[in-house]
Amino acid sequence: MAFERLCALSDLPEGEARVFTVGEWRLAAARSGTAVFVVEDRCSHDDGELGQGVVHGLTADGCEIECPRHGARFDMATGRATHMPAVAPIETFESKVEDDTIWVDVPQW
Amino acid sequence: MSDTTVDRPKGAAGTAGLGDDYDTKYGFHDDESAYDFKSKKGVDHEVVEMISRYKKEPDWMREVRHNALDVFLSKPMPTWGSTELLNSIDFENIHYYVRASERQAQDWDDVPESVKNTFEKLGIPEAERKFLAGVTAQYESEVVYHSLREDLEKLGVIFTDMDTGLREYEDVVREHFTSVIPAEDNKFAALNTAVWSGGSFVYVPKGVEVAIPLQAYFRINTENMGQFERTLIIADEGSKVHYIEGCTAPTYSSDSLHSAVVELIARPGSTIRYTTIQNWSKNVYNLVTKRAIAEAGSRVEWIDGNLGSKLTMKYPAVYLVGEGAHAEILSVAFSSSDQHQDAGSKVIHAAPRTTSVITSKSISKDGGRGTYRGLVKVHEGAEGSKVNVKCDALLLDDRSRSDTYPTMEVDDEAVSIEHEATVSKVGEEQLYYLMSRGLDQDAATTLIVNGFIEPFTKELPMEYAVELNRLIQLEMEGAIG
Amino acid sequence: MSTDHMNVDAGPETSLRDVVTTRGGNDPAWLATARQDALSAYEASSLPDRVQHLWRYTDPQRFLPGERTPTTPDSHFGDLPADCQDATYEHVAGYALARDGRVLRSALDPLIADKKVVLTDLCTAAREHEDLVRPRLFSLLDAGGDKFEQLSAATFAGGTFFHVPRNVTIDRPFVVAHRVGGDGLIASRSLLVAGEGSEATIVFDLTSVGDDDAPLRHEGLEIHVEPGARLHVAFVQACGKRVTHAPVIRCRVERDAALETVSVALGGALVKSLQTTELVGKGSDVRVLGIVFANGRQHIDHHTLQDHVIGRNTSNLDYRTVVADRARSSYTGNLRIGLDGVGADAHQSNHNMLLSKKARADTIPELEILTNDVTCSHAAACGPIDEEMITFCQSRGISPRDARTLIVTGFLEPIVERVPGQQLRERVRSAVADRLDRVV
Repeated sequence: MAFERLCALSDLPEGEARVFTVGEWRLAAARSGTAVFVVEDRCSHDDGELGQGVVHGLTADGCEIECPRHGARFDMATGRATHMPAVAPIETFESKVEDDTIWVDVPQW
Repeated sequence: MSDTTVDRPKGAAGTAGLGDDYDTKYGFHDDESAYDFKSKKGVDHEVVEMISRYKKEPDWMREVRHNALDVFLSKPMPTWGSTELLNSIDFENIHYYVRASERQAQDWDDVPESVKNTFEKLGIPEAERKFLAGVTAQYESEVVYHSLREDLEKLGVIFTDMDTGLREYEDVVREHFTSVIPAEDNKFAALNTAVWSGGSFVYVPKGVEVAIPLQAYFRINTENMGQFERTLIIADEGSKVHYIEGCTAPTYSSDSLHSAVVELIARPGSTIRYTTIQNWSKNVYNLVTKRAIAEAGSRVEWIDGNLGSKLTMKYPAVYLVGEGAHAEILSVAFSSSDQHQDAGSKVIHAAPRTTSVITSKSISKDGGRGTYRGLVKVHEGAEGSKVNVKCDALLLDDRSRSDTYPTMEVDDEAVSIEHEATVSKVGEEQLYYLMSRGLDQDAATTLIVNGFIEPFTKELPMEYAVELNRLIQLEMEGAIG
Repeated sequence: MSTDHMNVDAGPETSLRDVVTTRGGNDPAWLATARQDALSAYEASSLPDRVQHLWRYTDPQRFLPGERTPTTPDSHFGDLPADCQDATYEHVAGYALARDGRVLRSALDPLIADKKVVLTDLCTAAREHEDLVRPRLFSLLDAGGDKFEQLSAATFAGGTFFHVPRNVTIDRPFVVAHRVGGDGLIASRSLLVAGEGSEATIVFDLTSVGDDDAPLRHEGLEIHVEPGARLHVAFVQACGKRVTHAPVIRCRVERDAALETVSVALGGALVKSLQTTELVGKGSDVRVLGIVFANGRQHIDHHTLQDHVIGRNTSNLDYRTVVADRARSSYTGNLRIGLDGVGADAHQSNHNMLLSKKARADTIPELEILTNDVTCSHAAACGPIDEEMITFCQSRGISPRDARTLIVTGFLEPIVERVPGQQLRERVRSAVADRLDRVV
């Protein structure tokens, strides 16, 4: 595990989900202030992209991201599936904000 | 075919006259003036608003409908399955809501004469008297007749139509409606959510076992009609219920659309069996979404027989979300000329030690096309899960077609999945053996077909098994030579 | 006897159109035109739809050249593989050395050369053997099909041309050793022809120059097995872990002919392979064998189709997959019996072994049967190493680790033993053992 640069804080507007590629990983991220939530950009229902899904109930403690294709939802803090048709969790990644940069901890393989 | 060669029980309830052809048996229809209310053709927010206002629904349901319509309009048509047939559906030429009678009857005598005739021709009230715990009959968009045995009512079993369910148990419906199948799930689930009417609402309290089946019968009688019933069944902890549905329609020159949504919730330790005998006429598009959530230690069984319709696309699903839950999906599809049965199953293993058994039998003849399309997905963490899938297809002539498209996605090491499929013709040895015993070729073939689907038939209540055998026999007449 | 194929590209290669024009400049006119047509078809076709199941598990965007420019093939091969050092042709009948999509050098046992067997670069063959190449090249391409197949048809730097004349039988294998490097687009095309009544074996040994080389490799192969011929082909792909590899293999098997293919997929970061086999005559026999052994974050997506256009023939497919770590294998296998496929006897089997919780295996064994007098089946299975077998081994004094190695090796061995050429087969075994060492 190692922290890699995700993006500048300003590249991730508050309340919107954005997609980033870090190494081999495609990630979806959202933030509230300096609380940043990073999950894999994959809906566990059909392995498609969560993409620029709508973010619901954003607070510094978490939020839900809604898959734009079939309406599944995931808790971005824990990865838990909260709404059908998804039932399995997705991976979450630890992140930190230093100066104006967001860092994310991704496995090397 | 001679009566002596094939076992054909006489006088069983609800089966009289089934030896006639489909048109005589199911082909009758009403004249236009018998209708109480019929929406304009096509679907838009105005039609949705009208349906919801007409039913005096709460605002939240009206919003659910309108949002679902937007989803329907924005979703593309599926690009798999029978795209040619799907794209030939003319959504603008369908009546989305048709009501034939003002009130719902609980006494059979109160059912309007024209509707009663229909169901009496189908043998519904007799069947009820014989062996059913409760029965619901849906005619076009509305449930027209409903009854439940008193002893079950006293135990707290709820079996009513969905509209009444929404009025009388609004909180329960609000909590669970679309919780298993969101409108966003697929284009036809969205359409159903927007214009749904009728269907069943079933709740079985903790520990209650409903020993005999609950039944619903669906009937389309109007040309260019869409039927969009919505069913929600909740089996509380440790309870047990068997629900059976049958469906028919007369043959019209233009096509009808049936697009139901069925949501099942099996609480811990409960059992739900859902049996369908689908015998729509050969101009009905049958595009149905059926899905169950199975919690810990529960058991969900889909027993699905498809004989009718022009195109069926239906993949009953079970989401195994609790440890030790079990799914059983047993299906038979019979495709004849100008028919495409695109059916299958989906099982999602999302908890440890969950198990599933999928058995599919498909028979194609006279250029019919049978497709098995299935998904088995085992998520990470579903360790110790076991899956067994078996698909067999029987092709009765060289013009018919069978496809098998099973998908298996495995995301955990400690699981076991087995899948097998075979495609064959009627075995000549078997045929010669039977013919050497004095059967003609038709009768021998029918017997082989009946043997082929026997694992399915034996799971049906006797009356249904008899009806199914008769329907197959009808389809088989003149199949060979 | 050996021939050198000089590097004939001129100047830096910039746009695809320039490359197609430059490379076509050395070709006969008919081939230059075919390249231009293929480029137009490539440009005109859209990316495969991810909804379509063949691309459900793999993002087609990753196979677009994007910023990559076509690589000018290096003219040095480097050290020869052991089987290509066989100066007396004791074990091999001949070999070809290829770099970055072009055959640099080929050598044949003089006795074989006398029988008019040809093993050379495809561009050279197009000039020197027009009668053999022109009627067949691109004839098996699916016109409305794979976009990337058009890309390799337009931009190929070269490739293998192998022709065995009528009734020639050769008992030793031919070897094509191919190394790829850099991080550009490497496109190649190969054409293999087993003439009527002939018999031959050819193996493709694909590696990359260094572990950090990360080319995008589009490879197109057409294999013709003419009436009564027997051809055995092996593909051993052991590239480095940064290579993106997209082979499209089209086979056509005529009456009374036999084709056996063995694919071994060990390398690459991302692999998307397609192999189709048309059985167009009765009495033919097709065997499609393969193993996939992936670890780390490798993603290997394989598709096969056996199409019985005509019946009274047999096909058997056996694909075995082992996935470890976070690796993923997606296998889609279609068995199709056409309207005239009466009497086809066709079977396919795909077994998957998962060695870790994060590993993933997808298997989609399909059947499309359009007529009834056939015998068809498929079977697929996924599972971990059988704990009972480990317990059994332990009772015989074998450690659990050795037992696992033994079980995985035993699972793959029935396919590995079908790899022709002892040296190559041993290389596959030791590659499997090395990988097992890391993942068990």
